[in-house]
Amino acid sequence: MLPLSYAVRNLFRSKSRLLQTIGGSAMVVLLVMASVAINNGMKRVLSASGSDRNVILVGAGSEESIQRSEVPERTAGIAEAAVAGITENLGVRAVSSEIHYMNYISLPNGNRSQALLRGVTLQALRVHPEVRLTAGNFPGAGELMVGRLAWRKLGLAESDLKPGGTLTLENQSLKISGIFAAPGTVLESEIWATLGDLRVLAKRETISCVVLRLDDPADFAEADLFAKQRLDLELTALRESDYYSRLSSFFKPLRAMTWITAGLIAAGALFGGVNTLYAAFASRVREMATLQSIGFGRGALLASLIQESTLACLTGALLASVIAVAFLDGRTVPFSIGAFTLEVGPGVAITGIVTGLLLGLLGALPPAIRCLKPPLPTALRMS
Amino acid sequence: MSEPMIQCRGVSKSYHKGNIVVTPLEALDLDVAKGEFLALMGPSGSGKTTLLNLLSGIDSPTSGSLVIAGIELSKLSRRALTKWRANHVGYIFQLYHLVPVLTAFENVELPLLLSPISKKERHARVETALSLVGLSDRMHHTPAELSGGQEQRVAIARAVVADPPLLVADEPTGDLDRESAVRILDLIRQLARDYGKTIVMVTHDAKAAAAADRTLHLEKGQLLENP
Amino acid sequence: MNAAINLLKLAWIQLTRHRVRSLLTIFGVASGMFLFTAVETLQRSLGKATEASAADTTLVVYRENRFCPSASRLPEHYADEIRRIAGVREVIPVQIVVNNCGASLDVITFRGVPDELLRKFAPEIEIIEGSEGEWKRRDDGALLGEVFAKRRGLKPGDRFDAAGVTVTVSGILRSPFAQDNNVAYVKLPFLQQASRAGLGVVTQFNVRVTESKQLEPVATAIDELFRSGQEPTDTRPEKAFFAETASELVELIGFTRWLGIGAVIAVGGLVANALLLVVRGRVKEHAVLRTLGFPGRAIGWLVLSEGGMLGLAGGVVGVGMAAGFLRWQNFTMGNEGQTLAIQPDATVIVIGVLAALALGIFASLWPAYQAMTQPIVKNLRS
Repeated sequence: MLPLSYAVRNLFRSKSRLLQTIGGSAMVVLLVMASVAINNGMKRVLSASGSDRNVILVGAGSEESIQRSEVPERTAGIAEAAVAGITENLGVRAVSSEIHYMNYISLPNGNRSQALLRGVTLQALRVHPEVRLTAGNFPGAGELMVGRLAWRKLGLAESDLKPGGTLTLENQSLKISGIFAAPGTVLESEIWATLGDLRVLAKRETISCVVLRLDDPADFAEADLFAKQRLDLELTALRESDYYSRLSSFFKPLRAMTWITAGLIAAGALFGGVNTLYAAFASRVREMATLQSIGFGRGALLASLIQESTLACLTGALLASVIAVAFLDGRTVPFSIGAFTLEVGPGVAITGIVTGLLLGLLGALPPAIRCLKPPLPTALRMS
Repeated sequence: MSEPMIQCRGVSKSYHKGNIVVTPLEALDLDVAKGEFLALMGPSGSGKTTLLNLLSGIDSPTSGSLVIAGIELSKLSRRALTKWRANHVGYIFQLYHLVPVLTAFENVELPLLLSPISKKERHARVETALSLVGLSDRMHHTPAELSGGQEQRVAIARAVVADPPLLVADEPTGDLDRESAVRILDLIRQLARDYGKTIVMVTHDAKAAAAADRTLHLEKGQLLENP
Repeated sequence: MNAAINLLKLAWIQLTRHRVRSLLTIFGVASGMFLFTAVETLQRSLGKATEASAADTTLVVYRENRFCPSASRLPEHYADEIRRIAGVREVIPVQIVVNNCGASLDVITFRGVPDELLRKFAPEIEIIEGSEGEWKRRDDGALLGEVFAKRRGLKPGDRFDAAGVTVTVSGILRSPFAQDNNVAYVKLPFLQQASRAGLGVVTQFNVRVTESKQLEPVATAIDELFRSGQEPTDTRPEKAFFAETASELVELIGFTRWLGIGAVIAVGGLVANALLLVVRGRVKEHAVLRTLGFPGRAIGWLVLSEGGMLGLAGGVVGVGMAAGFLRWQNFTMGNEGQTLAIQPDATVIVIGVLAALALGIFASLWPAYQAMTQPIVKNLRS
């Protein structure tokens, strides 16, 4: 076997080619890492947003989008009494009537932006225990509670939404009474108002859904039975976690687009790299032949050539990792129903390293084989 | 006796190699008659190739006058020199320098691609050149499919296809076995005798030089009849 | 001129006889151009849907300050009042039901219309399969837009359900209005009941005016008419309406512009790299050509030709594959009840191929300059 230092020194023979390889592989690995991070981030926020202990009662036919759903007001009271297994605390059952509403909100700087509004009562806090107030109070009439990442969705700076500020909806000025956090879920991008206010502002006679929290996820069957029996209410029972995983598959085509883009760019970079290596190795045929005549086997030489290429690509992968950690980690990316945070974790890092390895291997293999193929006598005479 | 084909007067060539100034040729005088086959010999680094480069117009003298077929080369612009080269000189290299992906036919065709002649005429001239060197049956082979001697013959065909009056050859037999070398030298001599081409050949090999009409020795930038 | 053509042929020979190297570069360029074409198609499709043209004669009357179809509720009788405004040719009430308001590729849109009005409103629509009579006969019949039917593999007689609505396919239509081709038309009363909006309520009104310069005055007149009513309206030309409503989609597609630029840079880099390798590898060959009398610019022309041909070949492959793929897949993007068909047209294809050719030539400029300025004597010796 040839020593590793041989491969390293050969890399430095052409500094411009080395830089090119490192740069190209860094770009590809960065793209792949970004795609994985985006994919994971979106999936993570959607799966965290839905608890399997929660059941959403939506209008039949609106299982894919709560915003379209219409549920009679009286449903909450009926469900509270009829469904067994609802979490109870000090005699109060965890049942929340909610209106989910998306509309334009006028911002303090004069712009308009689309916002996700949820009309709730205090019951919402029993059903969504992950929601915590971090500043100010739960909203009263004429007030709003703003999620910690709502600024991202609205396109404002984080400092623009503080308790005491105002937002305008349907020509009504609403005061921001507080800020809430619901880490890792889409709820953090929402703006919560009182159920009463939103009923008036959205001009609804019905609510969007009723959310129940169960002690035991298996009791979902009870809620399901309730929905099927009460045909007059026209309900469907959905596990909250199922609702969000359905949403996740709704966004799959868009995620696929990210992958396809990364794939195309990787292919382009790979073609360019193989081309470069064909030229680079072509001028070393005689060198390889000389080494063979000294006594090194073809396998050892192949390994050395691949070592060279892989070292360069892994350096590129390292560079990409540094950039990813510096610029991608912790970034929030907004999408239609919320925002997710990019996490450059072990999964992403491993994918990056594997990509670098594959680039090095695949990029070098065909040219290296061609370089070592000619029979010795011919190879020794090549220029 | 008509005007000499080549007339050098006080030709010098020097160039910089890093911080040192190298002067391979110093105030050289040379006359070569039309249709003469001249051999140039000398140790390595004596400036033989430099002189060849000057005669073939791919390099210019630092000082002195260089008249070929009545034209003062040092007065020509680079563009004019390139044009002159295309029509007046054929260069034969030691390592043939054929384009590896082109067939023999296509290699010989190369000098004619720049002239306005029709495709038909171009093909006719290529075929003539190839039959002159005896390779009509190998027209569509690539250099990889030809022996060393055959490759050199293709190179010669390429050198004469545009019918230049002057041919320069840099160690044309240097890479060939004895038998092929003899055939190449015969061909070159035939070009001088039967076609009136003026030929200047640089060589290491005394046997090759013997094929020429006259031999000159180049030593320390000076030409001598006898070493 | 002759010389230039001869040199082109020589460059072509060099390209075809270095098969592996050329194919690698061509496929690399093709990858980049595939991406570029996809992005260009998105941009152009969006442009066609949102940029006003002189042939536009449709207004959309929507509930003021509403954007999701389920939130816009207008009384059906507004249609009669709108019809009386000067400059209005026809009005059609439309109830819209979508399976999801968010922007994505797999959105299903139902449009409920009064069956006797569809023909009056849009006489340009032609039924290419099934029959309109069949549609009128059935309560739950649906006329599917061509693209919609192809995407889901549906034909007359099939039943399908989505967003809580179950319909039977009565026919397939083709319309010059892009959005019609991506939706399913059903009977208005049927949809009002199925979506629980209730009879007498619709999402919007589509208004055809007599000529495009009537668009603004009629829009103003309509909004004025209902300003102080129970349900105030916001009336805009259809394309402007699309741009504002499907803002998420517009933003998403706007972002892809960067991808397109990235693709162009990548392609340029690939070709430049490939040609630099070529030039470096042919140093001696070029020197020999110079001795044969080839001027520097002939050598430069050879390099540029090779680069241009590589770009062109890669462009044809990449653009062709992208256009074919998009045509075959019939992608439709939807957002807030608006649909956008992603279809490449001849302009996209031509732009793509020409761009690839231009890129190939541009990327070869530096390598060509390198080749032209290589010293002859030194390189003969090497």
